[in-house]
Amino acid sequence: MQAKFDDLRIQRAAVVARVKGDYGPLQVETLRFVQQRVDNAYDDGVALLKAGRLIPRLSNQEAVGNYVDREVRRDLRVRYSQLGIDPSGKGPVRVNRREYDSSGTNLTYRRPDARVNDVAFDVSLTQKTLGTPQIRGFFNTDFQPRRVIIIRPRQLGADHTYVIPHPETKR
Amino acid sequence: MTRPNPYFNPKPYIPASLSEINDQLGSMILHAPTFIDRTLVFPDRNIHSEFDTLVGGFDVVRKKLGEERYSLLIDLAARAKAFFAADQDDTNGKTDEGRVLLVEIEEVLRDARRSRVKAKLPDDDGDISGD
Repeated sequence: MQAKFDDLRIQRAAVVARVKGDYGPLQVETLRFVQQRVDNAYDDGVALLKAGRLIPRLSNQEAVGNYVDREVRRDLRVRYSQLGIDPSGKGPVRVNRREYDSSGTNLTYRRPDARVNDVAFDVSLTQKTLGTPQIRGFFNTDFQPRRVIIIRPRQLGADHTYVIPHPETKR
Repeated sequence: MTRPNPYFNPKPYIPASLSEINDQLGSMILHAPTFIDRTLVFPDRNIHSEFDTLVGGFDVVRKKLGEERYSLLIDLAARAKAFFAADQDDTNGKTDEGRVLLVEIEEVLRDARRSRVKAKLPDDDGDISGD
């Protein structure tokens, strides 16, 4: 029942984005969807690791984080695709695409896990702040996100997921 | 009579790049051997749909892979699927053998990306990323 309800919510959000050009509801539904996928993937990754059935290349945390990221990106692509949104194109809804920063002498880029219009989403196991170079980099990209949302597994505690607003500095 | 939903795209998602296939694999490694989505968000997901998606991705990037790697990947995927199919209860150890093959697929894809960077071949955005 919950899955059906969530399905209707995200369908409505996609229609609002398409018809009215208002991406707010889709940003909300993307956050809800990603949070659910992150929580489940984290449980699955930790369970496999504890059972010795994942062979980490680096640390255990990096291994779990890597699988969580990949699971979420894949599921988000499937979900958007079902909604008729191409997440690999140049539209305002993208999954793991380059976002360029043309403000300097050299063209650079950052790659948020997802972007819905003017909000960037970053899936992470570690806490990140405005002081994290990656996050500052997101804000410096040409699409100038109003917010970066850090989405961490609910299992990590009360402050698992939070919003970092644009620092309002002039470029 | 129910009308088709005009806002639903019935075409299954197929990975469009080497990095998207890599993400697909990561998800498959987590959810072997049944690949069923217990949240029911993706109720049609199963071993057949997952391997169809994976192999569909290989087809999309076949030129980038080259025939030798492509054939190897098709073979690895078929063998992995057979292991998972033979261990749907995850009790006889074949799931772990299948997972080893999925990791082997990751290695082949990594090798393909390294080769593309070395040869300075552009991705779909015109950048040298290995994709």
